[in-house]
Amino acid sequence: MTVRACLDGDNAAFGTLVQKYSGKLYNAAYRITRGREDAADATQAAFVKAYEKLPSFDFNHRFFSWIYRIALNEALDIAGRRRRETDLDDAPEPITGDIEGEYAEAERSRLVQRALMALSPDARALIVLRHFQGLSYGDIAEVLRVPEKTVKSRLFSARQRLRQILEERGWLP
Amino acid sequence: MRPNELERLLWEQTEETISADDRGRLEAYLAANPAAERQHRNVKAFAELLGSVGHVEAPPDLPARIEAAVATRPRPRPRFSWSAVVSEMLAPQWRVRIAWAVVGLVVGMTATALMVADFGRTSRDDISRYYGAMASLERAGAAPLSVELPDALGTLGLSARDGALLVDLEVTRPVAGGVSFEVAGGGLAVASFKASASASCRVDAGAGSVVATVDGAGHVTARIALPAQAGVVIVRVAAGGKAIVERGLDVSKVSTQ
Repeated sequence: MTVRACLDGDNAAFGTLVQKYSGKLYNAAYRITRGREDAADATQAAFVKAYEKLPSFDFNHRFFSWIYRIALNEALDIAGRRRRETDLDDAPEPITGDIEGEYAEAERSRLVQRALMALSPDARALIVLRHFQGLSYGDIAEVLRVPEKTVKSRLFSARQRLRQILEERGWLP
Repeated sequence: MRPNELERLLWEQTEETISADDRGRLEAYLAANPAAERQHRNVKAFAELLGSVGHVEAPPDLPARIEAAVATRPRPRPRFSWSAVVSEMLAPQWRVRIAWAVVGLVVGMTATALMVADFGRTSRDDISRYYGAMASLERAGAAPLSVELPDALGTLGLSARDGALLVDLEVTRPVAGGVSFEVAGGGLAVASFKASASASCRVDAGAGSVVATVDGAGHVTARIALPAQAGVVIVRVAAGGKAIVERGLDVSKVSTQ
């Protein structure tokens, strides 16, 4: 097991975990913080914290749910600080290929992202985990350490609120 | 069907997590309520909008940046926990070793229990069987052995003088059947015998042994001549016919001058 290998002093094993999860965690952090540098900082802080707390890792849980939980907390923490400090960066998402198609997609992403930022941090995290990360209800329950029923109930409310925001702004019919 | 329930079922249908029963119920409801179809379209459009949000590529140097940051931290060390130890011990590679350890422990404890039980029994009978059974008299007339008899019964004194063994038995309290000492060897002869109480002395045929018995409290001294080529003689003390002390004496170490 990779985590055990890390504890046994195999530094390359932790590198494997970084390679496996850093992209996903960065994406989740980006949707929560809405800043590329903030997302990178949150992802890095999550891995450093996980590395330091590795001896307290509970082997009854999966590593993915543990690292996701740490990364979410880091991202929410950064997003909370940014919200207090200044208005959020509204920079468009980068376009790299088919300009028209990607422009439309980037524009939709930007609209959803802006609506997402109007949600409470917890509701935002739920939408991100379910719809942008594609985690199952069971996985989300494991990440957030709440019952699956609670995940469904909270996600229902978060989606209603997000749709309401999008409708109010005319971004959804 | 309430609006919230309808929306829940529409989401479950969109995410393909709806049960067969709920699917049938939802389809029947949508067929019977054209107005609900609008909500259906809204949910689908919303789901499509969420699904259209693109994936953001992480900076290519992010893993290297993370690993560089981690490299500056002290290496994590496993924290001691009993649960981890128990889990490790229950691992298949440890099971056979643990089983053997348990067997060894049981055997060891059983052997110890038997030894303790044996000590408990014999210590009442003859403690000298385990402590200093063999003795030698280094110099004639010197270093007499003095053995305290069990249960404060008295004292057995042994010394060598002029090629003879001097046995001195003092009995401090009477015992039913008397207290006797027996010197067993070969070619023994009684040179002198003194008693301060009712006592008897008997020499076995062939001088295989000399036995003296004291009835009641008193004092007996026997001087037993040793043969020139004597080896080891055995001195036994019995109370009421039951042996309580046994000593082996290396006669070759006894001066015959």
